[in-house]
Amino acid sequence: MIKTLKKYRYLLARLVQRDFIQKYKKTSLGIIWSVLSPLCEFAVLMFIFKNMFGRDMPHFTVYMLIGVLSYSYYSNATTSGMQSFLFNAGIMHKIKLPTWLFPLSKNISAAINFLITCIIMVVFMFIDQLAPNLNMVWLLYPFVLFFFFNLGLSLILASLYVFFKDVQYLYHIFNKLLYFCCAIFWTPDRLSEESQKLLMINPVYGFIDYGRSVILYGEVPSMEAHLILLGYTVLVMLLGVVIYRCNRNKFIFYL
Amino acid sequence: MVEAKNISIRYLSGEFTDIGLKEWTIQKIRRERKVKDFWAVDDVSFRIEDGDFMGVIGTNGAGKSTLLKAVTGILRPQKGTITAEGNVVALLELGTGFDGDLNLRENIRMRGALLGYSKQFIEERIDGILEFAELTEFQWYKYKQLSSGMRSRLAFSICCMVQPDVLILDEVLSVGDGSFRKKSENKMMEVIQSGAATIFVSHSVQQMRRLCNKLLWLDHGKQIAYAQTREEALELLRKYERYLNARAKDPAAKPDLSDVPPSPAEKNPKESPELTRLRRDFRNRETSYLKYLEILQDLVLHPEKIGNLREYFQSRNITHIALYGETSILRTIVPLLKEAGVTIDYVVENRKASAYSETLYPRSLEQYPETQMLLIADVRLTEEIRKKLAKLTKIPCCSIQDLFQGR
Repeated sequence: MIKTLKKYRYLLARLVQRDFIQKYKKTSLGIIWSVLSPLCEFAVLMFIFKNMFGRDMPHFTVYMLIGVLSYSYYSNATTSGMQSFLFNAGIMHKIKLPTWLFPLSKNISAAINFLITCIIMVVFMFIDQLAPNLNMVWLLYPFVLFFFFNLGLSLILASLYVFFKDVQYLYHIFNKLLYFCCAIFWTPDRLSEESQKLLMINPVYGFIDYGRSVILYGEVPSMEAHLILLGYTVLVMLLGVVIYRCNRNKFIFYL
Repeated sequence: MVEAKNISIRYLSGEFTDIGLKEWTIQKIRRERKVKDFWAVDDVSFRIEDGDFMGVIGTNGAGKSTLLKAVTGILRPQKGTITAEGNVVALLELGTGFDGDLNLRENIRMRGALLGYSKQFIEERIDGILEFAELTEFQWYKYKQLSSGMRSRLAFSICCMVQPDVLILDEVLSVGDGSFRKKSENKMMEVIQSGAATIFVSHSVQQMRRLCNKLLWLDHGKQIAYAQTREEALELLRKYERYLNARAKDPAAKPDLSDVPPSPAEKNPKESPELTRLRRDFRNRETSYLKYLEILQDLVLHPEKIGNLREYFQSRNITHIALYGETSILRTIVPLLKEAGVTIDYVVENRKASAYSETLYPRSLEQYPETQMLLIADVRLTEEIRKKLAKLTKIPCCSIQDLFQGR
């Protein structure tokens, strides 16, 4: 696999580049939209929820921003990853190449996009007078895991999507539900103890929570939290690879 | 080398993507799920080696393109095995992987990347590709602004930059208008002659007759016949033509493999099949080859002249020789030399005819102390190269022209 990746690294780079070019082609603001569109979404949420929920909470702006950005990274990566086989069906029919490159390239694009949007966060941290702390180095851990978590999920979804087009609608609904379960604009401390535990089942929330505790409080989460995230990532990635490998030879007949 | 053993490829219909999840679940639960199988390729076998040119013929829907996809590795056959050695390059459709909004240079990079080439490899060739496609002045245009002829020229030129071991062509032998058509076909021939094994799908019986030494006839996915020599292939083409004629009158006509009397022109061929092959091999080469061609024709048509060769070697007391030269020439000359009674110790093939590369010079003749002479099968042999070779190998070097002229 590493060998294939090495051989096709240039293709991967071009695919990522193509994603960005296609995304912003014919827009006058171009790549600025990467920052602007989550910023607008954020502004709307701020306008609505700041007064409702965040009254008594310090740094609510950054608190919400971490949630919004992480969630949109997750949503972008998996949705575009899901459709990657179908979008590249023409190529898959004519040229032999390792097909997993397509979801991978979409995930890399989404990850780069995420890093760009993190600029907003830095700005707001500055406005909110939240000093950067040394523990932020630890953020690399959830970021790498989050990437592979999204990649694994993309592989699962993309494989299923080839066979069942219904998956996109189901997943859309699922994502809507998940959005409200990620504690993006509310704080879980209002929930009962049991509900809080239940919230930890949601891996996306796990990643968001990790980020919040490091950025807002400068605290590295417990060993347990690390292991839970690692467990989820390994599980999803493993499942993704297995599902992909079992079905990759059949894709071409359904595309 | 490509070897296919009893491969079958099936397309499914009546799967859940066609009938919907609800229907599919119901059928699955009731265990009465019906899937109609459609075997696009059914029990097909063939084997080609380096230098072979295999044609695949058959009417529309015979499974030709599906077979090519299997050789390329895009499809995996449900039954049978297929093995391909070396770098397999397929020109199935020229236009894949282009983006209308990118300029030509970007598109070349993208397309090259899709074929699995490195950045360096592509950058080195990008100007050559534009030049060959005669599109250098358009290089900053967007792809969608090109005419369709220009597009196919670009696509074709990109595909030509590769040096495949196995080349798979689906109706793509030449593109563009008159002059470019000729140029592109010549270029394609160059690629084919560089020793690649070629699989070619075409509806042009003429092209097939000119080029192939193996022929596979498919009909409704089934293998009707497989010709393994050029003579058999030509015979099979006659049968195929008869089938096409019959089919034009009656669409229900079945492939018929009974003998076809050869047409008078083919009965008394003006030149031997070997010569036809040589002529094909030597197209696009310098005119000096033609002279050389005549000598070989003479020998092939008049085997009694082999005696002259025998005499040549005997008078010089030569029994062991080594050979160095182009694959296509060596293929013809080796049997003639064996006939003349000399032992060929070893052969250095210069596969890429265009590269008279020093790295290919034979150096290890010490292993064959009995070798008395190095015979060089290349008409472009200059005195300088001959001296160099003689110095390297420490034995006399002789060109084929000298040999035939008794020098």
